[in-house]
Amino acid sequence: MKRNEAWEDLLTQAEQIPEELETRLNQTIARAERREKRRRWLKPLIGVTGTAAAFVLLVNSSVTFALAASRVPIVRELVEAVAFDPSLKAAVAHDYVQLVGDTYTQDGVTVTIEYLIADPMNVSVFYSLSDEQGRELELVPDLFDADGNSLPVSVSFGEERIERNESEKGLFDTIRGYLGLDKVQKTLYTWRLHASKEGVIQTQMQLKVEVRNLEHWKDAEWNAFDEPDAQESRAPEAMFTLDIPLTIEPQFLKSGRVFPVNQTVDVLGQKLTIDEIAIYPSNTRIIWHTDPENDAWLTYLPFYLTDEHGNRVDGIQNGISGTGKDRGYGGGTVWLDSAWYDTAEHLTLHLDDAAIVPKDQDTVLLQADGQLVGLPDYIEQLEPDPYGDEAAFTFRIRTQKGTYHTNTSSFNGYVDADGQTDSFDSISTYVMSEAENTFTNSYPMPQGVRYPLTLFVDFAPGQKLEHPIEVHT
Amino acid sequence: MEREEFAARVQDIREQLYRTAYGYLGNAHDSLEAVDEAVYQGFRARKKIRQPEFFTTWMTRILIHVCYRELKRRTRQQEVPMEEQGAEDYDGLPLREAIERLPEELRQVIVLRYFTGLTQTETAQALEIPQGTVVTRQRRALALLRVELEEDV
Repeated sequence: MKRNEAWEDLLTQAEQIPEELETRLNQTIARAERREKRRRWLKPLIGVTGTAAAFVLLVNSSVTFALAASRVPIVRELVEAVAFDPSLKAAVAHDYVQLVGDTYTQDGVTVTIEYLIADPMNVSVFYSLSDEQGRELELVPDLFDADGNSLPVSVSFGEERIERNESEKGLFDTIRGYLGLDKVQKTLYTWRLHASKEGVIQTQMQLKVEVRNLEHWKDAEWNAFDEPDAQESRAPEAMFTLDIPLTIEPQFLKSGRVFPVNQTVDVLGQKLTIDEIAIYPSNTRIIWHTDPENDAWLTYLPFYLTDEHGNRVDGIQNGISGTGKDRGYGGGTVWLDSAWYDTAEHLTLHLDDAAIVPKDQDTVLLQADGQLVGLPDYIEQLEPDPYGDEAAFTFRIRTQKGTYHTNTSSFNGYVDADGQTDSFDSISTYVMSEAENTFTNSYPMPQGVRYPLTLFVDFAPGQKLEHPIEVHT
Repeated sequence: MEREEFAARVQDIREQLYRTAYGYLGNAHDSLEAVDEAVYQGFRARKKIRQPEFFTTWMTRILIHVCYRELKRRTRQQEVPMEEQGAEDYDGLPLREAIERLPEELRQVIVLRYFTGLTQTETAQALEIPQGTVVTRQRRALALLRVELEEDV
């Protein structure tokens, strides 16, 4: 074939775009986002090391309760910021907002605590941020009581760009993004602090907020493109710590309601007890435990609530979806969106499907050559798909249509031949194929451990329950 | 850049990215992988974007890095750098392989011009080189590949 014909052929081939490209890129972005969220999740665990700094209280130090959001024009920005969170959206719609407006400035960085949405188990702090030098900053909070004792909360982060005029905001601006930059009034950032039990959230607390400069850190990440063998990133630079008092109006801490349930049901042959349903303005929590005599672990419990009007409350899509688990803890909490503003008289808790891992099949061996031994029949080992230059092991898990798990880890952790335990954490990759009802995981081969490793199987295909469970409150 | 905006912009240019990868790697599987990896890296670094109007250029550069690394991995065993060879050394190679063996600076121009579909001006901007250099490299690359195309701009 002549050169020019070959050239034309090659260009034609390049035009044959695989159909899967669009789906695959969406999956890739979701995967990158999961990794990013996980990274952000880990941040609150890092100790705050900066020096406590004096702050300048500029304005409006008194705490004001917003009686009616609709009557306070500035709350429009809050409405936008909670648009994608059904629970907080309902809270704002019901004027369940505490206006603050306290401003703190240090080294050119100004933080204004704008609003709080608090209940006995959760505090969402909405704040704005500016920096005279225009640096890219990250603010990581730790929560303390009035005596300076650390309070056990988990933290998730959010940010929402607020534009000047909602009517001007259209698809074009969303897609073209920064072309609409001049319309941006400000960005409203959020810390969502979640307690594991009542009593943690108090009327007088203290936030210690580490202010970090991400500029050099981002540069390091970027340089990794040019120097693939270099260390990818280092910790962001901590500049200073802001001390921010947090005062919660007492009425907000009386807004939860706990419904004792104490009902034991059979789920795929396992005893599951629903202890209570706790409903707060920020979320609903289903507290459960299992019978130690069960012969399988319950690994997937997609509860939801309905009322007599047909309204349905599902699991939380963005943010923390639960804590605890059967293996290791014998129980936990599943978080749903809030049912606080549901005006119905009866709520029914449902469970239509679930997944179990038999206790006598809950581990597999990973050998030094990457071979997995003792896999359950729904997991198939594949050729390794390494991330970068790291050795990896790869496997495909068959699931079941309609009971598709997301954000799950197949192997939650491992113990090596010396009894050292660890987890695979953040570097696993995850590719879903909804058409085939499979997902494929790659994990890096852990270094500095003695093989073989015993891996804990945490995933099983979901199964529809023959008799869906209903628990009435 | 927010997640939704990044996703929308990436989807807008996905075919262009794919063609770019194909120009480098020459098969669908590797091209998909490369676009995938570039989008992953791009997402993680998206807050680094200072000039969003150059999003396409920015993503293309990331993709070129990814493809270049893949080609480097493929040719790691090669002893004689093709950069030192003359046009006659490319004659015996299938076109696909000849492109793969081009010096990187020439291959970049060829891929961006004919696979990505950029103009000479856009190619110059993307590679941050003068437009005249683009013209020179384009001519040289086509000559090495023995592909005769009409002059264009």
